[in-house]
Amino acid sequence: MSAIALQNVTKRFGDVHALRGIDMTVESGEVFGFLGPNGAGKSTTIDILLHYTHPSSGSVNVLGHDVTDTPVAVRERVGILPEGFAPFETMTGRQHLAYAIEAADADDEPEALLERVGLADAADRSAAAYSTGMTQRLALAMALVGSPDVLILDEPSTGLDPHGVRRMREIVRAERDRGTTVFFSSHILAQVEAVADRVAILRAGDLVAVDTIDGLRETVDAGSELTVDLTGEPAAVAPVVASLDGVSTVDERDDALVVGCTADAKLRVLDEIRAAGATIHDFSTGETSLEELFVSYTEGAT
Amino acid sequence: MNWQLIARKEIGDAIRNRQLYALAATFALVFAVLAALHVREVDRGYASPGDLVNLFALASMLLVPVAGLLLASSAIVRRRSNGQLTLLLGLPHDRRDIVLGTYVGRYAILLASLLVSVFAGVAVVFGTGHAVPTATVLGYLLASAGLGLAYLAIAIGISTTVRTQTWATFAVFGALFLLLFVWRFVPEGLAYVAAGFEEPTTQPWWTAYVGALSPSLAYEWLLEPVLGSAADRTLVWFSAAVLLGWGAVAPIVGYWRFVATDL
Repeated sequence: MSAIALQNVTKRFGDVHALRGIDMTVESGEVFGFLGPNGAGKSTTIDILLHYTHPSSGSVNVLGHDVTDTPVAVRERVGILPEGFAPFETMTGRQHLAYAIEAADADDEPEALLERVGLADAADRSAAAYSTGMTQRLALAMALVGSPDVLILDEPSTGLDPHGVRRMREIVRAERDRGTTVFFSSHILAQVEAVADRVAILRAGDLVAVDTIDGLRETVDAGSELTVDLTGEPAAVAPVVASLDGVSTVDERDDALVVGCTADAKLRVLDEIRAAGATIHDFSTGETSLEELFVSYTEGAT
Repeated sequence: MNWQLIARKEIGDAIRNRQLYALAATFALVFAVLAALHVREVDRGYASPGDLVNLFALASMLLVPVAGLLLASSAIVRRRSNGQLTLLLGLPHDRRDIVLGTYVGRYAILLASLLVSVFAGVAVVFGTGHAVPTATVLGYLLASAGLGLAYLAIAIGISTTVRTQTWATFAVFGALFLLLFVWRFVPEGLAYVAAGFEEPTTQPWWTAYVGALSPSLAYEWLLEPVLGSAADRTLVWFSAAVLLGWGAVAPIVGYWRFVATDL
């Protein structure tokens, strides 16, 4: 059974189309990264998953429950780290956990959860005095209450220092190993790349790609770049290289030849250069990074 | 059904941020001072023991609506705009639980303050060796609890409907002004219109009922039998129903708006 299923979900705010028909399925047990620039509709989608926001049309299903009909049934089995929340100003960290545990009718220990997110030292301080990062850890601890089947994290690394980011990543991995489905949004590719099994890229309310990280890499590899330093004059071999299958561009740069080609054409390019009598001094392959792919997918988005 | 948890949290919040103590202490001080004044008048022979509740009622005509409105006007809208509602609704809570729990919790705070203050006033009277009109005080308490319920409910309704605290404040003061002052002139105005824009020779029977639609005026009708005046029984029962009606309708209307909107 899929953990999260969205069917043709749209959301309009006045005449602004925040989501333009999202179809997306997150399988049970996977870590799903939801990527997109600011304002692409990531938070709107997550708000709809938790029924904070009503979709204009379409259906949203979490763990077999229709979110619109039974939001509480969804919230019972989902742990959420929302965006733009505030802690209760009269409560300490420990009291927050105690409240969340009671609300979820769970039997967790506040101490253990606070320890897990690295907040044990500040357990008895008022949450109103917490820093952004500490507030983020607190909400993560609250999300983990009751060992939820699905974790939804909206920009989880907001305000976290590098240690916090690493700990967040460890918790996501540990939860995945426990069988939890993790759905998290980010506008930073590196964070998604580090933990996600699959990625969806959202741009201006449209899904432009849903793929595994490897799948995305393959797409990227189609645009590899090979730089070959030659001892001789590059112009001599350039026409030969240009005629090869899989080569799209050939540029001369000082003593080097810069070849744009598919990944599997790289070796053939090198062989051909040597066969043409040129001496290869050095070579390097510059992969178009996922970052560039991400940028190319989301360029022009508003 | 998680509303009890939210109600308990509301009460806990009021204790932790000392709002409950501040409110109860203010009320208690006012009632104690009134009771002291009453005792002096009784000693001088200007007042009878039963007049105690007259004084109490005069104070609570303004105090109880203001306390009820202030206590609840920002209850939901503030949590909504600062993001606490986002955190709360991430837990297995329904929006109905939020409205009901906040309502019940805040009403408990208001009731506790009212009880403490009346007790403080009665203690002053009793402590100085004077007679306490127990039945009258109890009747007064019941009517005041109804008045508090109606105004608190109105504030909850406003707080679930508007999106910013500024609007909540405006709406609450508007409601107070309308229901406490303006409404006194509405029944006569309607009678004037009904008589063809002329001064009617006798006030139609329904003007009192229209008047009693305001919780403040309903409260005044409700106090008539408590204070020993001969009052139209039907009108008194109608007034009681009005207070309870506000108590139910205002939050329900607010809830309807609340569930239909985005957070």
